[in-house]
Amino acid sequence: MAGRIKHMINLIVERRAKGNPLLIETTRAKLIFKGVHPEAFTSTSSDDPLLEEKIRAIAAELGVSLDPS
Amino acid sequence: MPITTAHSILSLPEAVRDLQAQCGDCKPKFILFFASTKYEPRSLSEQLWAAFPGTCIVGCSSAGEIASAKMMTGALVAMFFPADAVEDASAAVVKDLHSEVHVREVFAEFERHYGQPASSLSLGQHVGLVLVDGLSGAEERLMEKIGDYSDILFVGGAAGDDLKFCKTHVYCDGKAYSDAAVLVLLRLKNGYEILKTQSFQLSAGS
Repeated sequence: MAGRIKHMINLIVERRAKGNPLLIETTRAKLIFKGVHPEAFTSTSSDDPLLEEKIRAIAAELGVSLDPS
Repeated sequence: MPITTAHSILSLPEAVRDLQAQCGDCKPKFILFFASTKYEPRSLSEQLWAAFPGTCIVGCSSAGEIASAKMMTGALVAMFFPADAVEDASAAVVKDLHSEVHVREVFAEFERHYGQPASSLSLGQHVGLVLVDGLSGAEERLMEKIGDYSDILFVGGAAGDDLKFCKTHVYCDGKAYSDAAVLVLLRLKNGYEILKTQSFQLSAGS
């Protein structure tokens, strides 16, 4: 399987920023500070359960649900 | 009324009176100050609080002070923000930075002050300032927590102690703190812009 990490990152940015261009940038910056660079992943990046767990924790810190809407 | 800056190299209490005189007719809504360690922290904070009653006053100890493009040492410098620049200001202190950093209570205080959730405050009209004990080693953790909690931009820096690296202080509304950070949430009359500058010059050996 591939692309799950990118999907999770996109969900965090989308749900935290709610379309605000400034918040899109600041949310991406926050992810970088937390050790996850959004540009480092694509839809073909291999899934990684450990990293996905870390991203789930980051989402919780940012108050974002990764549940399907 | 413009934002006014002032500086003094006098000792306490004359330095505070000096700032008062330079403030003149400005009725500040918010005062930001930086002070050399030659000023005893508690006395300085108390005297400023007494000199400008009802004003939100925050600051920190420093290692060199800059005002009006002048670089000084052993000085007290301040910026006075009138109500037509800063509509409202709320300050709160995050204590015990050596342990786990919590900002929830600080934001609860901001929300009480402004009467609305932090998440509903206009990002263009509000900006945060943060001054943190420069020896706490907690700056990154603190900024991360602030960023988790809010999307309001917070800018600031770390307190110094004239390069003694012994003890730094942050000041908030008449009190002095170590192992702490002071956060301020400003409601601005006309929004804000970000500008960048730097105070270093290339030396001959560079």
